[in-house]
Amino acid sequence: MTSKNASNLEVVTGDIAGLFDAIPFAHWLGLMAGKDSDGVLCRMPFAQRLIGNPNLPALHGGIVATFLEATALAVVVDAQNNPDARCGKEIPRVISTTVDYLRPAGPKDTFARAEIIRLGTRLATVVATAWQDDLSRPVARANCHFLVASGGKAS
Amino acid sequence: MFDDLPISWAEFRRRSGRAPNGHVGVMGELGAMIERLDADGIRVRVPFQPTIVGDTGWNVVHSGLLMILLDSLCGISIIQKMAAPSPIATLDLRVDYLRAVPAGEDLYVTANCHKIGRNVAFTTGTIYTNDPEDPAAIANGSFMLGTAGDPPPMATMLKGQGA
Repeated sequence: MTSKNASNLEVVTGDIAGLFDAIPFAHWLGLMAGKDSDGVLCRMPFAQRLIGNPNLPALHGGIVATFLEATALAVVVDAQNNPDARCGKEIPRVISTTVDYLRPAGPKDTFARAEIIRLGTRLATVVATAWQDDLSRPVARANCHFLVASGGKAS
Repeated sequence: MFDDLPISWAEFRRRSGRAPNGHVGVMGELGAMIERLDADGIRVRVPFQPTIVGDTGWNVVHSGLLMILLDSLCGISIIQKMAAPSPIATLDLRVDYLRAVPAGEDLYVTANCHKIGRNVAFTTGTIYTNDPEDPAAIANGSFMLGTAGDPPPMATMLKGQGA
């Protein structure tokens, strides 16, 4: 499907904070990743280019979706970094993402965390949640599937 | 406004008076071009640019860009079919990534609204590059109708068409 070249993320996977800088589109969006005592925490600082309809204004739904998917990716990469983890260790390739939009996302900073539902030898299933002012009032949730190892002969 | 397709998303926003302080929204920022907009459908082209790459080793376009395009186009497919355009908001969006988009290829996005109910509308969208028969991503999106705010600018344009 993709080229035989190695992912350029191979060089940054040990450092979640550098992950989004290595992804040009994530960098364009200004996405940031870090870790605290609760795990990976991602931040999307407000920028005018993230607006969908400037007349509202609200963040574009696809932008929020991108942020959630990127957060899910970061959490999978972080889990893969654990040398004891028995899971696929290839750079995750997203298969599908489903987003539920829960509240309008206003022109302000957005935060996200993600939870791995299952991380296997081929597949990762992750749920990500984004919020703005109040963690208990999420603006959107996403369910993402990633391939974490190429399949066998069947694929 | 319809006579001079293709038109850039940014220019279309400016002409319809929906670019406050020169802000054209993310679709405008991405350089999206409206190539087709009529009763039978809409098609938008997004020229490749290096900022949309997801992985410089694999040399592919970022998946998030595809979600942005599909969300926008699915929404417009509803506005296009509304008797009286009103504000809408995405309720959910599912995107399946069928194949990677190689860096350097322009993207084309189309969408179709299957049903407009009293509260919810249902859509599908497709992204392809060189070959419409070889889609890179497909989406299913449902949207709430009659939400807060102004109708999208596309509504203004479509009403202008009939006048």
